[in-house]
Amino acid sequence: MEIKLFDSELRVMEVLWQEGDQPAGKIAKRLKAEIGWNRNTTYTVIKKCIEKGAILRMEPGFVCRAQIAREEVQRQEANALMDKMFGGSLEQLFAAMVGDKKLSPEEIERLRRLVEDLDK
Amino acid sequence: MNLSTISLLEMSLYGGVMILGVALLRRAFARRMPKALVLGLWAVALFRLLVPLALPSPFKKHMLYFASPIEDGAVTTAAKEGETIITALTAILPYLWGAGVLIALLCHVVPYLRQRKVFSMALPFALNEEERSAINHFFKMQGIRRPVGIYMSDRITTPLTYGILRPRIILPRTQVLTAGEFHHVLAHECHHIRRFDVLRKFVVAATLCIHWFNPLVYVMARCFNRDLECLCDASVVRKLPRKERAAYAHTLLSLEEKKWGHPVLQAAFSGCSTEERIRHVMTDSRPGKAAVAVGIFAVLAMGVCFATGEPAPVYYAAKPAAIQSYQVVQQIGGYNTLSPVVSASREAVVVEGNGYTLQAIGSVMPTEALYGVTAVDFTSSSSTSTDVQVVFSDAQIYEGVAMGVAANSISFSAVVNTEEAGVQPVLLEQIEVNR
Repeated sequence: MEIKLFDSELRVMEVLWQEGDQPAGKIAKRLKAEIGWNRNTTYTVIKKCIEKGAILRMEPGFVCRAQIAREEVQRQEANALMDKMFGGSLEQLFAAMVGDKKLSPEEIERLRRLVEDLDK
Repeated sequence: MNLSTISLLEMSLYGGVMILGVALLRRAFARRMPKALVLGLWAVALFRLLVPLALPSPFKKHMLYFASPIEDGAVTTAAKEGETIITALTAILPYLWGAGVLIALLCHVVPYLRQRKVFSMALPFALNEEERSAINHFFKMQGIRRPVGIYMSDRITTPLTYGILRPRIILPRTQVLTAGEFHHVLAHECHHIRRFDVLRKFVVAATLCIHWFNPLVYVMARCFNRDLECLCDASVVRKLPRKERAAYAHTLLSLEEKKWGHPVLQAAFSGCSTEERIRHVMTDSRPGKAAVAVGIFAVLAMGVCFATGEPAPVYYAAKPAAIQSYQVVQQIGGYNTLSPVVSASREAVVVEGNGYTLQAIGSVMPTEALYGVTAVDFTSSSSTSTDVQVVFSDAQIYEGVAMGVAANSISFSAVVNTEEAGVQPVLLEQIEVNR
């Protein structure tokens, strides 16, 4: 299920991913402190997320639950980027990401295992 | 020196002529006339369009008049007909205009509110402490005292500024700016903020709503927006060496994107005729002295010609005059006496002045000398202002003239004051003259 989220909506999802289920009022208060959004703005964005199916509204108390995981969104965005900029080639995307970054031995090991898993 | 009011149509007509003049000058002198001067010219036109006043001028001028002259005594059906057509038209017009204003307002306000909603969802632009304070310092140096917020949104395509009291710059997230481009954008928006350009755009938008029926005002709005952008460009580029000007032009090019929504109420970076702006930036040379001289002369000439003027006499059909006289027995101070005969003539006569004037002439002729008449007070009221004068008095006759400036009706009363102890002033006659 493809859900396309704008930056503002991702920001709200971020709160839910970090803190788990939250009442909308609490999200609003937190975002007011962090980025200066007023209450109406936050509620508008939450409603948009609900419409898109990214948030589930639970009663009583307008509690919000994330319906899509951060990893899922990351994957969708990465796939979109891959298709858009790297001609669908995972290898090119990967090469670009790794580039000239120095990887620690642990990271290399983890990556190797990831590739092995894919091979199976 | 008194100011006279002029009607909306007159404002629109003269404003339209001024707009034509400014547009022609602007095109004729193009880059040789500094944009600040062009904006000054637009400001004069805006004044004419928004301020319903005309100053008296030494030059006699004819402004519009809405009826044809009527001969003395020719109170004919023709006159009555003309009057009814005109009154019918003038009755509907205000409502038509009002409807147009409402629609225009909706067309402006609704998209604007929608945009504001999207703008409010922008996220703060990622800046570290050092960068933030450097930017704040930059704004302060430019003379901006309001706090400026910098945000980023994936819903817009060009950098823009909105907000008057707490201005906010929003940058598009989808276009990664290099450091140079970022500085150019900030500098440009900074000048918008410094000049309260968002407020100026509001004024122009309001003018568009009020003068929705005048196509020239739309022309002005378009030119005005372009000139605002060019002026900001010029302010940025003025102190830059030639090489950096090319860099700024590059920034304009690379940011050229589709305009975002309604271009009227926020100051967008590259919304308006980018090509024109690049040309201005790259060939910005010393302003021609001739151009400046012509521009200043134009400001003064427009001001004299169109902000001042005395309207030509206006004539109206006179209502048939009716002479009325009556006698009433009044008790004044214990003495019965015949009241004075009051005769009043009703005339709607125009005297030269401000548009049209109602004049009522009343005379009080005591048939018997009233005991101790001290004065006959004429009082008057009309839908606008009145001026009452006692023009003639002796023991036989008191005559008063009341004039209502730009009035639709005028009421006129004469009150006899006596010295007799305990006698109240007696109201003798009240007449109403209707246009």
